[in-house]
Amino acid sequence: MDISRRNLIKTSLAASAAAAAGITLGCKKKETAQAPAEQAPASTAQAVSTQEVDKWVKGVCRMCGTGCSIYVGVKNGKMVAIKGNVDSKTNTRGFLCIKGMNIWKVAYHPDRLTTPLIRKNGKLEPASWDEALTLIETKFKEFHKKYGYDSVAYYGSGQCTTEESYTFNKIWKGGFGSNMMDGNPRLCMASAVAGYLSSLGSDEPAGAYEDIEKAKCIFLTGSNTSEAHPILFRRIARYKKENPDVKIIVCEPRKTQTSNIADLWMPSLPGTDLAIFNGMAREIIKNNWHDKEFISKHARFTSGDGSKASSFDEYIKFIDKYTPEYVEKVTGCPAASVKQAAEWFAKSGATMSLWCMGLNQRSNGVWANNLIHNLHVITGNFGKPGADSFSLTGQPNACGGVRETGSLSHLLPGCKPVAVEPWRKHVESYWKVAEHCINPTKAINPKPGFPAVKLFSILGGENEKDKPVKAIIISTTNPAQSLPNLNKFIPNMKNAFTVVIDIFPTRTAQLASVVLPAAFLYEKGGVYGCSERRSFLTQKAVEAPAGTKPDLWIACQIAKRMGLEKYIAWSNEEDIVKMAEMAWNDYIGCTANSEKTLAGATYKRLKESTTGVQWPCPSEDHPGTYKRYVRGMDPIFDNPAKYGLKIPADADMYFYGRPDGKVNVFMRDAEPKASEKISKEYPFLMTTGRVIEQWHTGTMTMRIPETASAHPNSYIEIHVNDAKKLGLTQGDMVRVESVRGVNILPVKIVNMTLEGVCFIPMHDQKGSRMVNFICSDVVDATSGEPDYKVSAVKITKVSGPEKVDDRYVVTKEELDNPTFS
Amino acid sequence: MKQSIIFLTLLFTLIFSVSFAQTEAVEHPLPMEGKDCAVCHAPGSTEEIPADPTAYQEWADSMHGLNSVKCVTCHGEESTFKADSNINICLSCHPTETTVINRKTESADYGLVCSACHKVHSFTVTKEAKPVHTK
Repeated sequence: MDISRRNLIKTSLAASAAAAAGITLGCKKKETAQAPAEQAPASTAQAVSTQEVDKWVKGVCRMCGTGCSIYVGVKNGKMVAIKGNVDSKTNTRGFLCIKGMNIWKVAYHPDRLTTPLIRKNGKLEPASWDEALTLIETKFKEFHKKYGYDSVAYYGSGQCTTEESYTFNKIWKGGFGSNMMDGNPRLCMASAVAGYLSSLGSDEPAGAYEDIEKAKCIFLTGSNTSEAHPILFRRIARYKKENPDVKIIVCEPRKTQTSNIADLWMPSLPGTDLAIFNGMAREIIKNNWHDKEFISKHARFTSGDGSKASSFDEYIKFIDKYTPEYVEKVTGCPAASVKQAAEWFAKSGATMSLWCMGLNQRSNGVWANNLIHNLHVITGNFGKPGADSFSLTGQPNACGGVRETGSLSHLLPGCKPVAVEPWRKHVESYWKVAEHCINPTKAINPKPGFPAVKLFSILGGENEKDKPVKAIIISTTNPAQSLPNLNKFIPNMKNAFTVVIDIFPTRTAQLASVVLPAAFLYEKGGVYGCSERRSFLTQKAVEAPAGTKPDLWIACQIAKRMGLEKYIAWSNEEDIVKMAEMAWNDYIGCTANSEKTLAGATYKRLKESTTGVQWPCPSEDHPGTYKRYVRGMDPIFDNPAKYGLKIPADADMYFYGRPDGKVNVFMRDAEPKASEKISKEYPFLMTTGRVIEQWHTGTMTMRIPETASAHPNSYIEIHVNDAKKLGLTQGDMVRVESVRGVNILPVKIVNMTLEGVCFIPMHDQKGSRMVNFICSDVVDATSGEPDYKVSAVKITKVSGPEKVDDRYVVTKEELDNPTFS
Repeated sequence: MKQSIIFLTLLFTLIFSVSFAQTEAVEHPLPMEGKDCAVCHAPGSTEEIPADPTAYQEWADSMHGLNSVKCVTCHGEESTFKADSNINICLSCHPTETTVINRKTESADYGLVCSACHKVHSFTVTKEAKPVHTK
């Protein structure tokens, strides 16, 4: 008998796993009042033991901007499992959250789109790829001729790969000579971009996640990190647990799970926290806690409108009105908390601020960002371990794919404005625009296009004379659910020639003229760059389902059909991996002489690396950069002339993106002048945000059984005292109404929000629970980012509790009959 | 030879049943009716049949509770409910430890599951558990 003990145990483990699978399949279903949405088949949803996969393929998580590195387990050509990468510098020790560990399951959901669809007589009918692409080509050429090159737009996503965004950007700006392209990062971190550019002179953080474990004080503001970036929260929580002396300050309107690790929670009424930041600055200077040497070397005081230089004395005068008592009156944050936060921020030795949409999605989002940078400058909290002013990003490739490739209406690769002539000329020359551009101007337009909200407001049908944009390609995003004030924009998408690239039926696909079925990330591969300037290659793990195509292939087909075959040199390549590599090489060549250089991050290196590469990385032998602006750490100091910069030879630290190398300390007024105000009729301030189990518009997470179950529907959180006043009990259905739109939602009565403040998560697709019908479409004047965090609403009771946990998703059958109720 | 076969059969049965128990998907004891787990399981539940509030409190006080690694992460939702979790669920987030555990399991040094040492629902690391993760 030749059965070794080892083999026997292996066999038994395999047998038990199979038995478990059988049990899973046989699990008795109970009758439910409302059938939940279809879930991924149990055969793919079952867990498998590590011994059972054929291979583990390296990649990065498809969800938030943390950039967790993973391995996808593949068996018989299908994804069957996921595990964290233990070498990771982002999700250290390989931790993943519930979204990441389940993300592969969406690829096998029965709702996957697998054939192109063309709307004929109001119905989306199946079509061949050739038919769909021919229609797109015909329409684009017709509109270019009839209405000009700016009549055809592109709207991309922080979830497209860098290669995809770069290719679309190159086609539009250099190939069509049109800047009429933007992306959904406009809705989430455009204010952070403008904040970094105006304060520091260059986008993206100076430091990295590893500053977390070096900080002595962590200031979390405008971020429910515990739910929106759970793996970073885990890092912070673990660090705090092991180092109880580290101070954690959380400044938010809601006392969320994030504040459970805080030494101090600073409440602030939505829209008012700029007063807290100015108030903290006042306390710091008044108590002589400021860093005089750092200020003299690195600060440039600037007037509130940015028009002229000012002085430290003027700054002191300006912030004098923000006394702790004044701040308390305006924000609701106790004066003593402002004093305490100021002391810890200034005196701990190394402070790291982290913020997210709570600051960015505001009518004064850029200014909010500026004021955080101010605090870091006056306390010298830049350039040393553990000290940084760090913006968290919401999407996995908003930084790498959209900010760094410049795939927004006002930017070029390297995140430099189209209006900056020397860089524009460089890009024109690198792309050979004069030779290839189909626009007779044969040049990149120096005038920016329109940011998302403006772009969708001027999108319309051929009969709408006031709407000059007639066609749009929307890739990997869902603006018919994610734009604010949806009633204003839904008709525009419906009337225009709208092409949607996605893997599932979405609210936007319901409005489309053409739907193109896309490949999922792990079916194509590509580079994602996360919040900390780190680019990481996801390798193709499995084949895409028949009928679906990667966005990069789609971009290339459009380029070829529009006469840009030679311009997009990878458009004739058949292998998607090779195609992506060529696009990547073109991109890193284009930005090699910018401070965002990834010239050293060759595809070969990215394929071999288990950690990814942080820019600036000028050469293959460079390890990548943890800390910018510091001599000895930042490679830009080694050869500034190469990047068109001047850095004094004796400067150990220099903010080279600014003409004088100094950070702007702005005298920004705190009042949110443009934000909606509460009134007698609309007495509640409504804010929106994420929950841990869901992501964005729920198109993926509402199709994963575990995450859908944990958050099956939206709701409105209100304070217990407000509930009493309104005569509400837990679960009652209420009508939430702003001047723009209405939701009908169950009530969740809580004591962790402020009185007068309510909160609605943003993920639900059910029309009557889509919060963006209510949201204000006021935008930040500089960044164009909408003010999702501040809307005035009224709340009235509709009925007692009703069952609404339907895990609603738009189905294929509903593509032709969009009902937003 | 005969003794060996009996021994191997018994061993097989033992390991099979232990592994089986750890991965078995079962019916949730009561229809959940779409309610969140906390409705019945959290301390202070006003439901007719509150369920195991001690376990819930232990979880809430643990690192899993702090980091919002909620019930569904390990137990699945109602249609995929498992009374006990298994090593493959742990694997997703704890790849270092589970890889070593698996190696040990494969070599039959231990027939262990994570919860043997990291007691549910506090998941406290016990001293005895530490040698398991040494390579």
